[in-house]
Amino acid sequence: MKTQKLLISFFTIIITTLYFIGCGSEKDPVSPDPTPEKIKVKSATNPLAYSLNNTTVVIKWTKSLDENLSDFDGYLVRILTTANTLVRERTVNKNLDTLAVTDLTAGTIYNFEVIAKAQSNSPRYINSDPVTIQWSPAWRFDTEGTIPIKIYESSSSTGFASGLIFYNPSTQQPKTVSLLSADSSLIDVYLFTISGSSNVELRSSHLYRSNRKITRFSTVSRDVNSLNDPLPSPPDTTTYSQFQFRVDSVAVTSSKVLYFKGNNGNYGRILIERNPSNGTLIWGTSPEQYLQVRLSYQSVPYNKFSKIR
Amino acid sequence: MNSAIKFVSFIIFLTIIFNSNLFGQKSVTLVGEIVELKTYMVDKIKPNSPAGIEVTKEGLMVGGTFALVEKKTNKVVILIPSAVNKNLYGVLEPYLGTQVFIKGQQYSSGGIRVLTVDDVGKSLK
Repeated sequence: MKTQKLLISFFTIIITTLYFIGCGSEKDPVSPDPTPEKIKVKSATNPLAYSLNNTTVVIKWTKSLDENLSDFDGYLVRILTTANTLVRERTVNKNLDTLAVTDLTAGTIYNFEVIAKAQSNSPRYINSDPVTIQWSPAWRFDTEGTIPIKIYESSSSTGFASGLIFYNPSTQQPKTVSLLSADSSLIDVYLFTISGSSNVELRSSHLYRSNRKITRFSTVSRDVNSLNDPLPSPPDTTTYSQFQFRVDSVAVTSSKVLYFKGNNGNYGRILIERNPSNGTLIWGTSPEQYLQVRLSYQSVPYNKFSKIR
Repeated sequence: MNSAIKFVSFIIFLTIIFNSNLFGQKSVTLVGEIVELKTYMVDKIKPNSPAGIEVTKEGLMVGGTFALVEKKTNKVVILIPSAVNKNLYGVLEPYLGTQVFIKGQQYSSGGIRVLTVDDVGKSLK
């Protein structure tokens, strides 16, 4: 009798346990075709950017490692304000890793999200997490009107332009002028002749006259041949600590990009073009040597992303 | 005394040599306006207006000749390529309508002056 009760209790416990295990299962044991959990495709990585002009930013990324999947469907680039309000979306085919985002507002900072896309009807994959980069469009000046931007050394006569105004508001262009011209108070930088050598120094205007505008150069510079130079971020604002940049008369392999912060907190970049005839960054002959430059300029103050690189 | 006269004569001779066109060539920097020779000489048109630039470019495109109207003398100097600036159109076209300086070697013969374009830039004078 006692053994019989024990057996009944034992089977009751077993049945009760099985009942609760069965009810606790999250999966429907009756379903013949359970839906597997979808996997995110691998993200794009290493987002980079540069501003092409005052309304265009170019975004570049390293392609997703999942591009070879048949369900991979390219990239979605989302353009958002810094408050994360969506401005617009653009799609990019797979095998591509660059997008020029146009129709932006000069001086506005945007967040750009790059998302690797899975096909919407994919049974196995969904979109990746976004990778994000922040940037802003900035003016690009390759010429002064139609002519190349040439800054002559200060030992040249007044007939040669030694001063450079980054952005002349009346023309919305850069302007080269004499150091003693009527516009001299607007000069941002000038080219100083280093005595007894062929070397020159690009200097803040206030080093010529203390009441003139102050320009600071970043300690960061880039040896590249174009302002179309994608970077993950501009140099840190604390690096803008120099009032001059020395250019030696030595052969180099590429042009150089300097980063500057202008008098009103306007950031920008100067491309000093390499002279192919002598391999240096200096053009012409003493005492009228010059730098030939191109500019990227953020007309909105205190927006470090002007550096468009 | 003779030595002094000889020395002074020698210096005068050198001065004349280096400041004259006896050798027909000297390095100069001239300031003026770039024109197309026929458009300027025949049609009296300078590229100092949008229409003038258009006509000047048309002249250059059909084989015209670049020239500089020197600001100081208003005389015409014919511009020719140099070793560093072989493509004159590419170098000078952006400066049409601008007062420029041109550095180069000037050659003179029979009243005609020819200047190589070694360097060109906006003139502030």
